[in-house]
Amino acid sequence: MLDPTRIDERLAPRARIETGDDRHIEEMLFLEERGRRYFAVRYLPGPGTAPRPVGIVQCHSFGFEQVSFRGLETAFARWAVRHGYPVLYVQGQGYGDSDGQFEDVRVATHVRDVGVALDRAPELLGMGSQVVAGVRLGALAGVVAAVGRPDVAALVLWHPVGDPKAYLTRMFRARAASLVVAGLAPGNRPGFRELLERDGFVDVLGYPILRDLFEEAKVLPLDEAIRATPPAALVIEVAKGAPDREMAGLEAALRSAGTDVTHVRIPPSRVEFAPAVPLTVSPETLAPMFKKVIEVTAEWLRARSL
Amino acid sequence: MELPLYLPSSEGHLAAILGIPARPNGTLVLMLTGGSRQGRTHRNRMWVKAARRLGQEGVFTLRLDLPGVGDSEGRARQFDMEDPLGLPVSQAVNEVVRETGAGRVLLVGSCFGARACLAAAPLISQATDLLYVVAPPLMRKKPLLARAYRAGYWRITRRIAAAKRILPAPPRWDPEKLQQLRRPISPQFAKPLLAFTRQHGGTVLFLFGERDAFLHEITTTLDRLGRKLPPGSTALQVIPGMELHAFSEIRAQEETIQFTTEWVRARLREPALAPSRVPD
Repeated sequence: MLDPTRIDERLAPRARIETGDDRHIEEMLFLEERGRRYFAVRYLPGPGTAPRPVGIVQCHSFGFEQVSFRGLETAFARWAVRHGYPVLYVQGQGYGDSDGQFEDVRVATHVRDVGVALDRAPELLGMGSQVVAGVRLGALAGVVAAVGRPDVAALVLWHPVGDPKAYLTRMFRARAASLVVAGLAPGNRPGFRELLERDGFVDVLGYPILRDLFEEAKVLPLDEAIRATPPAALVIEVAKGAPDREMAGLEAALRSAGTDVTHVRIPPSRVEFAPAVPLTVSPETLAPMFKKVIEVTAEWLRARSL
Repeated sequence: MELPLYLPSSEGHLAAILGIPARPNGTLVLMLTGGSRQGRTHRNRMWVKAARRLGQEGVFTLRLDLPGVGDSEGRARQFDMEDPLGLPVSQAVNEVVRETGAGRVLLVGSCFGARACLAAAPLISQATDLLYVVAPPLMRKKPLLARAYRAGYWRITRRIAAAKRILPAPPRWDPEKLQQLRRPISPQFAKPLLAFTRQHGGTVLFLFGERDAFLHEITTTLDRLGRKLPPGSTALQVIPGMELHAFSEIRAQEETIQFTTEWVRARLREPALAPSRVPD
């Protein structure tokens, strides 16, 4: 049996691989920031790949969406690094292998943790300028975290959440619908407001949504927060049917702040991004949709010489 | 201490987090998740919580992303219970065993992860015990004969024979054999289970919730395997009132974390290896 400290020394190099025909680097690491430990993955372009002028900082979504969109984030990171973009993905506190408790997650902590990623990006990616690429609530957190930061060149927002309160309310309703499917009529169970009041949280598909989080979402003055935003933003909406009003509100706020916003609508392949992509949907079903999202993003980045 | 690792396998590098205790006792606990898109942490970080608790018991823990999932390489696809990826999982675990010097491996898996653990266990010489959490043991695909039955061939034959009185009516089928014909035990379940218990000397504890859809399947399957399994090598634990599948309730997650921790503690109190398997 080896001394545990020697195991650490021996295995430390295994956190990094050189892979693919382009020999890019994928590295998992733990970052320490103000006493908090964050799990992160960075992707660095291979030696023969022409470098791009920006890095990419990814912002994951909330709750179970952090898991359900991981495939898209990984596929995009691997596309990006093969095309010369270094990429940084940081898991927020209370998520994945990072420290913290999910019960302490708020919209504000999402914003704080994107800020941590942006602060560390120059050192980890070797780039002074970044594109913030977020999905769902991560996209909104990316917008707010990028306010007033000249090091953020652009925003890539995949089906962004425009209104956190509406987002959480829809999540509660989806939970109620799933109880009906399971044979438990909503009349037999207290509604989400009653549960929040009584228990302080609602169990939504195995994730505790706390009353404090819902209360925070109700009062967030996002319109006021969105000032001094990056010069350009891509918004990809994966939906059919009527446009998302909250997303339109977010775009309007970005435009008012001076950001040039490009909106692209992608038809969903069997599953829409909202209200949620169930974990039971197969990767094969999602692959064409994810591929389209990446293609549109790639084209937009190229068009803006990013 | 936790260390991220990329572990080589036949399906590319598999991403993992190795938990290293302050005072290792030589045991490694592998934790696998089910679902084709569910990463190594499990829903609401169930395996992260379990692993961090187990670190206090002096065990190494390994949370592993299956191929194509999370940070692992490999093709993202819907996993097939008949291809439970035992080889790449065992390769990753054996690599960690080599590097840590662990003398004993306990495997914990849920859903597809349980089948993967079962398939990998006979390929890991230090594996002694397995906690198999809520996965189906029967084949999902029906072989040709079963499909023919379901097409009603049997019923048609009986009716024709009885109507024409030219053949005696065929004997009634034993309902249990009927069930077997419709849904045989998956060879990817039975073979590694028998190999692990009979040749390897391992034990398997099946953990299901009372409301889990597969509970009846596992109960009848273990009855059917019956005498083929060494006495005391398998057991079934049912958590009353609970549905564990998909772990989409916080209560189910908490029960599983608690059960896993207690199961590991109980295993640690037993001898590490059967005398015949202690290396010289």
